[in-house]
Amino acid sequence: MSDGWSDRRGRHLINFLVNSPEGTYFLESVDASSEVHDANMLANLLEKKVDDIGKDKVVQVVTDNGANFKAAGKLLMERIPTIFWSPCAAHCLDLMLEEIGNLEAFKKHIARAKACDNFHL
Amino acid sequence: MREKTGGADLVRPAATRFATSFLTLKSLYKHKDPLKALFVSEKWTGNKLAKTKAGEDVHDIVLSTEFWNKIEDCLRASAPLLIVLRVVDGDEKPAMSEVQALMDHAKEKIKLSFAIPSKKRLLDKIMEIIERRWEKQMDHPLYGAALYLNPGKLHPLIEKNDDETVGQLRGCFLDVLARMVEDEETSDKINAQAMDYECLRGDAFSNKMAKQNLDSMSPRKCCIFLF
Repeated sequence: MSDGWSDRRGRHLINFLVNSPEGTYFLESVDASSEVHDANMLANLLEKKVDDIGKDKVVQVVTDNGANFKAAGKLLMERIPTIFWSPCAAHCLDLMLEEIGNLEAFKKHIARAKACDNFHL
Repeated sequence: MREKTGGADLVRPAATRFATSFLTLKSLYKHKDPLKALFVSEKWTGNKLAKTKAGEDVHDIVLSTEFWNKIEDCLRASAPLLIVLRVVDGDEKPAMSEVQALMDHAKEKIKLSFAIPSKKRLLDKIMEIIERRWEKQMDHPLYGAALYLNPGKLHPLIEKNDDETVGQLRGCFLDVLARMVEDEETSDKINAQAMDYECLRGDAFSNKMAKQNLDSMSPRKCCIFLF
């Protein structure tokens, strides 16, 4: 699994974790601030990680839903034909909820609900 | 305000960003009646906050029927998705073999709760968002294959004679098999065992204990049991 984030100093970090039926383990964090995060660079990074772990041990690679990660995932599936890539389901649902919350029918009312919520007696 | 809600706060933190908004709505909705009661009580009218602009605004919102109706719709659309989110975001058990079934269930629930003509347009919009975000990204043979290998989920479908879904899941499984196992002999063997599994044939699948445990066993336990 991999997930990118930016820390307070503006460094772009990419975390790598592995999951198996035994649990989830943190593998390492890569500081990728100096590089361009295009599909090619990310695919190289992921491919290297998969090679480190062993191609035959990896079934699925999960990343966030950024367009660059999506493109990298597709590249990775071409390069290593035995693995699957998919975006993160939780992130996917979160984006769905965001979009539903932004529907015209709801947007105003959610803002109003928040106003009530912030109002303390 | 806490006095009226039984001491509970209205906001509840959530694991993910946008889920928080919806959990807030849920909590607010739960306290709908006490809140309404609060804003018509003497305690409110006698409070100096009742005369502030913010106070008046909140008063108008809480007593508006349209507001609560919309919140109700919003919860109908979001609650089934939050249930899925809780499973995939939790660490309790691997979610892979559950996620597709959960999502199908959530979609059905949303469709049912908006099943009146006046809500059709809203439902269409919501479904469009879900389909677009889900089908294009998560509709992956791996999830179908995981569901196929989950006996507690697959066998109820077979019993219902839902051949279409079963066939589709088998297709996903075969897709995954073809991709992961290059050796033809091995993949033929796996395929033959899968057919035994599907039809509950063979020594390992047809015995009484295996059948009794279909629902309760997780796919992983099943695998250990078999191999």
